[in-house]
Amino acid sequence: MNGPANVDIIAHKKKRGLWADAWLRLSKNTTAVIGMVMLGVILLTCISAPLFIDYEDDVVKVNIAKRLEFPSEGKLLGTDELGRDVFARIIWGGRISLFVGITSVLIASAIGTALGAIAGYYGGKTDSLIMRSLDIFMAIPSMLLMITLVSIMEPTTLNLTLAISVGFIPGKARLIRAQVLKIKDLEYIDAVRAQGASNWRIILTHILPNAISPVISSFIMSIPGGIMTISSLSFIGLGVQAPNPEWGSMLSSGRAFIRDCWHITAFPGIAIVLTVIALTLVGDGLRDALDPRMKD
Amino acid sequence: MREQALSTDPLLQIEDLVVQFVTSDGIVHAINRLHLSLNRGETLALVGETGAGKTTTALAIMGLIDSPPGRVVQGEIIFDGVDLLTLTEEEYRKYRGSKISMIFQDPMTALNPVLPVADQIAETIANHQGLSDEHAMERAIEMLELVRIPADRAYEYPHQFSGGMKQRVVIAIALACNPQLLIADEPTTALDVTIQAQVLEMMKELHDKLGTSTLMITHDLGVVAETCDKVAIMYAGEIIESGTLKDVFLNPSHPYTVGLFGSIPKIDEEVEFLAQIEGLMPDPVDLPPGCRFHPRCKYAEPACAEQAPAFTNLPGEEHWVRCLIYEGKLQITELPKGDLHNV
Repeated sequence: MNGPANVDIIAHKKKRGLWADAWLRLSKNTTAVIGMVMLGVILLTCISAPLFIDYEDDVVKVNIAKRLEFPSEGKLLGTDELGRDVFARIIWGGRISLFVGITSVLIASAIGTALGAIAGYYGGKTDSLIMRSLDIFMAIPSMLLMITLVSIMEPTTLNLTLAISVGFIPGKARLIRAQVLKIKDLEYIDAVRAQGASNWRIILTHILPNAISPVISSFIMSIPGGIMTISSLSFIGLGVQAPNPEWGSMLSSGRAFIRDCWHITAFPGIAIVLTVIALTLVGDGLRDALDPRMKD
Repeated sequence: MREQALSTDPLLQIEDLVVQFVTSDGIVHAINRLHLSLNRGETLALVGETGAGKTTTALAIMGLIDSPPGRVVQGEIIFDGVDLLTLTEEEYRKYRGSKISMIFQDPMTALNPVLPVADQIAETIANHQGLSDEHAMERAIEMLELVRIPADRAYEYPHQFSGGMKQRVVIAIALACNPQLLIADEPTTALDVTIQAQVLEMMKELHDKLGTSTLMITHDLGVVAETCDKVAIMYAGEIIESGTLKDVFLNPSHPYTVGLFGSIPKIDEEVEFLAQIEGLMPDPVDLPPGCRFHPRCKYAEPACAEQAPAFTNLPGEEHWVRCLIYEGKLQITELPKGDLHNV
């Protein structure tokens, strides 16, 4: 058997954690890598937009003389009904759509996971209190709830994000609660409790890592929902305010011209579809990568 | 009730323990006035059928009975001079894993599937001994080597190990903080026979090496014979017979114990039907009055249904039995001697 020197070496060996391991597995998954590359390109383009697009000139300046032009050399994706460059507006709109979509779902997932895990683990009165409070939110149609919240607050991007995240919290909490209920009765939870682990340690290191993979894939899968929600709000005039572009509002404003000028609606639509595909591929890959049993 | 005579230094002493579960069907009398004591360095086997209350006893010692529906109604669990039942949850947590450890029945489900095995051992060590992560990890790998798992497999996940290896990991976790008491709840039931022997061999070896007192819960009398110093037979939540291995195996006295030994098939005898104890374990919601075993007992007399037997000391090293026969209150005064006694 190995001597103590060996023990020392192995104990200090650079250890791969859960996340590093997951990353390794993710990078071996071809479809997930394709999704990550697509998502990366989309995110990078949107983030670096100010470097090659001038907000005043390209995105919001009305130029009636050049309205409804089809894609050509100067205007890659043509112009919309007010003569603005569709390409520039899609990229600028992506900044808002993606930011709101990702951030709102992220906030909802964090809060939902915390509430759901506490409710599921402690059960009893804690569970009833948390879940019944969330039921109140679920009982109100989410659109109505958001309209109310947005009307109360200023329609800034941050407020929109918070309002949208509220609608996602109950779903996430229920999802994680169901997982926690299933896992907390497994024998290994009794075993770690018998080893003197505290409740917090049990929740954080033993239950959540086992419960989190559906939450992560649902997080990724919910981002399109977040994007659609901000679009819907924009459509009824409570979301992103004109003349700021946003994918959903571009879709709805272009629909009047869809017979003759398909490019105004088609390209924002394609942007949404590509983003959703990329997110789905990454989401699927992540779900598999986070399960160590899928290893090898 | 009597005081059990103790030859040496007791580590664990359970006195008059009553545990009940409140369910919609009524109160489940899981443990009824249980007395048990375990000396330092000893291995005590707790033997009984499924549903006798063996695991509940273990969980009561660990303070892990879910409440509600469970509740400890009365009794004392004195461990190393401290009544565990008076501890707060936070104080109890410091005992679990460091002074009292438990091995669960099924190693397949007793490990966290998403953590490498060494991390799971190191966690307990870091938690109780306040070592840095690195030192805890070193110690964890030493523990793995102690249970003969090569150090280079330390960062593998539970699903990469076989059942026997997983149980060895579980043992390594349980012994990581060098506990004074190890409770092994049917540690070999889920393993196949060759691996059982391997795991038992290892537990015995570690017991000799570390001197940990062990409470071995089992329904396998072969396991008892191989590993234990003392035996306590449990039936319907109470101990009905206890003594040293020699006392109980050479001179089983309670009709139930005799029945248990009689039910072991013998390799040199050809029989059409295996011997069995007639009937089933009583419903713990509705236990029979008097002696809990009397409805199934071949020797039962009307008095058995009326009077609960007390412990009687039998000749031998430390032999106690709970049966009216030995109190001289029945017409028969001893069991008919048969070949059962030579198991």
